[in-house]
Amino acid sequence: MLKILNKIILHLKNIILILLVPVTIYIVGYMFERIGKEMFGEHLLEFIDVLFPFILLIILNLINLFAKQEEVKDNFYYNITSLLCMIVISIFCYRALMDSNMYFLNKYKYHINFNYFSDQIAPIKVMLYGLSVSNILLMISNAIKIENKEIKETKKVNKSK
Amino acid sequence: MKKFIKDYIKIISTTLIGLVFVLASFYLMINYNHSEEIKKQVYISYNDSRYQEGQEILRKINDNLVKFQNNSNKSNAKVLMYNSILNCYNVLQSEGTFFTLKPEKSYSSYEIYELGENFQSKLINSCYVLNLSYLKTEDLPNEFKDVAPFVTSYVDSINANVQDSLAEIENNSSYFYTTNITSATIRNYLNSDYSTIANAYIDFANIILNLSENINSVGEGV
Repeated sequence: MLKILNKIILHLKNIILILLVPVTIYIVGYMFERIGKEMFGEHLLEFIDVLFPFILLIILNLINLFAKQEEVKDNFYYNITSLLCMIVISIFCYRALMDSNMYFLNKYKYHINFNYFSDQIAPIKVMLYGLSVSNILLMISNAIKIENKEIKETKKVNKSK
Repeated sequence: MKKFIKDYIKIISTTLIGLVFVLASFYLMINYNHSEEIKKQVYISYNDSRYQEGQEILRKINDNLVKFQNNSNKSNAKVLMYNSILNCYNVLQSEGTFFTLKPEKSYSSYEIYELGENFQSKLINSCYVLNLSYLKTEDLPNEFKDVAPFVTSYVDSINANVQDSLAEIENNSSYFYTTNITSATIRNYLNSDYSTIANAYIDFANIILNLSENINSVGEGV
């Protein structure tokens, strides 16, 4: 039961992460346009700075899926935390686009609440970098496990000889 | 040795995941708290004491203006004063002010903000600056001249209160609004902002009411 739930959470958080990237690019793109920053020009590094944690986590998730990182994939605690983070970032995006109770969305007639979203960029980065670092650490832990197996296998081979 | 490193790495990664979990949970809860707080609206009933008081003041100003119209003893200074008060009365009754709010309706934070903005643009600019700020300088009866500095300082203080309320509503687009140390529960800031703005309208209307009473009662003066 827990394994099935874990798999559902694993795929759900991956889907949300992939969906969040275009939404974030859309919001950040408009933020840059509003203050006259060129996304693919002079301020490319600033744009990458916002987008990089998303790309890093997507790359790590792809490695998890295709390189059989069991330590990460089977870690329910990691997966549920990742899903929680994705939900929170989705809420940030939703509120930046839809929460009409916030003053700035009404006042300036923009369709995005830049003021709110710019406040959330720092926590988004902290959460995504936190997940990425813990993912890398679990990968290292997984690699050590493989080495142990290899040692055991080599010991068995030596004994049989 | 490898087992030690593996365990150590697991401890660090688990701790890190824990910290991220706490951070994400905090932001989930504070967003819920914040959205609940800012979606609160102000309901104005027909029996609302401020609404009733406002309508009563408008009626009294109107009575005083009618009384002055019917008065045969009108000096030029008083007619000048009457015209100013009439202009202010029309501003008070214009669309978008507290006195033209529709009762039995809920108002959002943005509508309350507009109410405060209208106080500044209509009552302060169109009424006070254009019609009442000359109280000190014109050749008016002493009663008006004596009261002029008090009117000025009173209007300044009312306007400062409105400005504070507007700033508080503007802050509802960030967490500053809710992360106040004393704010452990969901609070209705909008209600207090509305009270401040509504009281500002009533206080200002009371100034107009007092002036309208004076044109019927004070002597000719200098």
